[in-house]
Amino acid sequence: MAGIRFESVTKRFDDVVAVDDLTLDIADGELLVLLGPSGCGKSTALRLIAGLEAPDEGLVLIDGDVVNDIAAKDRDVAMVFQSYALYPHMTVRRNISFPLKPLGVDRRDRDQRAEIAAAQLGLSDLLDRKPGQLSGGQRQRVALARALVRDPRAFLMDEPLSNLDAKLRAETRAELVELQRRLRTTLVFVTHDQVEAMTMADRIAIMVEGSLQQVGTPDEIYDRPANLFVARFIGSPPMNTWTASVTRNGDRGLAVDGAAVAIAEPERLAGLEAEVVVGARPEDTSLAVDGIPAISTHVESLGHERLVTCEHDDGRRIVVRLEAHQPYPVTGETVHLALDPAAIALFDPSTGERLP
Amino acid sequence: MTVSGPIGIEEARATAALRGRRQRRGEVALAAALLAPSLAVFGVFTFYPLLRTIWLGFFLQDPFGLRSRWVGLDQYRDVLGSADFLNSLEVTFLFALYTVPTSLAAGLALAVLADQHLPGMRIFRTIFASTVATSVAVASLLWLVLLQPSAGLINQFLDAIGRDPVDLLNDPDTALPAVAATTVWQNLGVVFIVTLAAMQSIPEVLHESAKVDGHGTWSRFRHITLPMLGPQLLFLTVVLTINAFQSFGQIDILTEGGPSESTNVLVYSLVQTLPIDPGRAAAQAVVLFVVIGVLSFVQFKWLDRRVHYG
Repeated sequence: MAGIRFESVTKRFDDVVAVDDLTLDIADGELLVLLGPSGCGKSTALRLIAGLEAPDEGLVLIDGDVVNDIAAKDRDVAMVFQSYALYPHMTVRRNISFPLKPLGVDRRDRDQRAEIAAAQLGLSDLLDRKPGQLSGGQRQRVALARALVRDPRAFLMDEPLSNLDAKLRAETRAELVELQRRLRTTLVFVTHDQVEAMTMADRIAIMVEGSLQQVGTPDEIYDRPANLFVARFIGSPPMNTWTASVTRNGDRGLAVDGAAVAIAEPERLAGLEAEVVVGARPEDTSLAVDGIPAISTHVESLGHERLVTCEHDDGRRIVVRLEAHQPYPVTGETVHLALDPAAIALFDPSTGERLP
Repeated sequence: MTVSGPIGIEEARATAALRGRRQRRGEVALAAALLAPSLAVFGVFTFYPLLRTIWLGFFLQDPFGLRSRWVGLDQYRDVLGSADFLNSLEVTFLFALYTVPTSLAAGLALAVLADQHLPGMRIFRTIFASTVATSVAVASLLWLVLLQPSAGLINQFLDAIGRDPVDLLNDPDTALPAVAATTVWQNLGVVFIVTLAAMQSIPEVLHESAKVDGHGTWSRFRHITLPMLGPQLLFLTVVLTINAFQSFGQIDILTEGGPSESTNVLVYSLVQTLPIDPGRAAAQAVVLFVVIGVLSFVQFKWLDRRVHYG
């Protein structure tokens, strides 16, 4: 078990900066999810820990030791690949025990430990099959068993659930979390799926275009996104945003398209320039008699709630989350939106950074 | 009314069965028609000559193939018992033993080198593969020049470093290994191309996974690359063995079966026999055919179990 640390790590592929000056601490025993859209550098970051890529600048530390010059095979971490990377010519038993071979474990012990790992993942009946004879879910479990078998310092997982169907994915997600809680081995989990990130992570690190946007618990990230990118990336549907003008009639206030927007602590607006970006989650946005005008474009019923999609003047999509019993507008109707004054987020319009 | 149902079904079944039979007969006819051209070609150029050769092996003939006398299996027995034939069989086995494993190992080694992402590898790839485009005759002449006792490059080199000259092709102890060496050189290209292509189709992620799992270069080669090349190595083993047993060109150009029969492989001996005694040559050919057949069968049986087909 070990903590992992990135210190100002940069990795380039030709002209593309895959990881840009990344500094990140992953605590011993933590389940950290690296989340971001595809091509954001999260997989590269994982491969830097594994030793499959070498940083161009900066240091990677495992357990306090710089590992920049330590080969992948000597890092004692286990990795689960998106494609599972099972060895097609080996049986499940040999696949699982393969990481034990370089450790000098004799054959009988290897088989025994492979059987124990297989039993943990419900693979006991499949030990003599080859990967080609397994279903996707079974293969995924073999890959997990292979990671578990040697008690590594850390688990690295690169989108391990993305090839499973929705039901199996949800089940495996829960099992993985349970497994990690039991073993308390550091787990770095890469995904582009925010539901996975929100449900599994102790902390989430969000990356975009190689740079780290925010690190925090799922709640922190959801409630206090560090910038507009995170605000619009996290949450399904994501946070609604408007450009608002800061008014100065006596106390400062906010107005969107001439409609006043109440804010719980007006002192937050002190010192702000003329414009600010206002954000509110769909559940903090509601229909009102008076408020920001928009046109309802469609309504989705999810049973326990309804999502009303509206279009703002500038073409931006706004989503309002309603309880199932609440009245909702018909398509094409002009509606007025009110924001929960206590839940408003403010962002700098030029940098996109969150304002206090 | 209730009876009409079952009768209807019976009738329908009968009609369907009839239609099925007709259809099957149609398909058989079509299959035969489609196979006919290739069967005709095989028949004329493979099956007929094969049967004719076996038949010929039962006769004693004069050099012109005119007067022939039925001797039955005696000729086969005679061939199998003759010292010349047994010598040729031994030489051929040795030749295969010298060439096949060495060709596989050397070609594979070159492929491993060429699989590294190093600058200039394209040029080396072309060079390594080039022996495929060289005919046996050209390659053998090339080696004849290199090995030539007085003016050959190899002896010039030995001379330059102050060593005694050698005459590898005229020494009964070294002639066969020398011819085998030129054959290995010839085989390099095909082994290189086939194994390199297969190696490059092994997903990189398998190697990455093995690296993270603690395996070094040799271990990855041993446990991932090599087993995943299984089908190609089996194919090459069988084909190179057959080639070794059918070698003629390099022997004819380099040693003419000598010195003192030390390189007189089966096909060379057969070709020597043919103008003198066609019947005996036919019997030799049939024995060679059986030997190759049995050997290939054994190789397939024995190696196929160890090969994983991806």
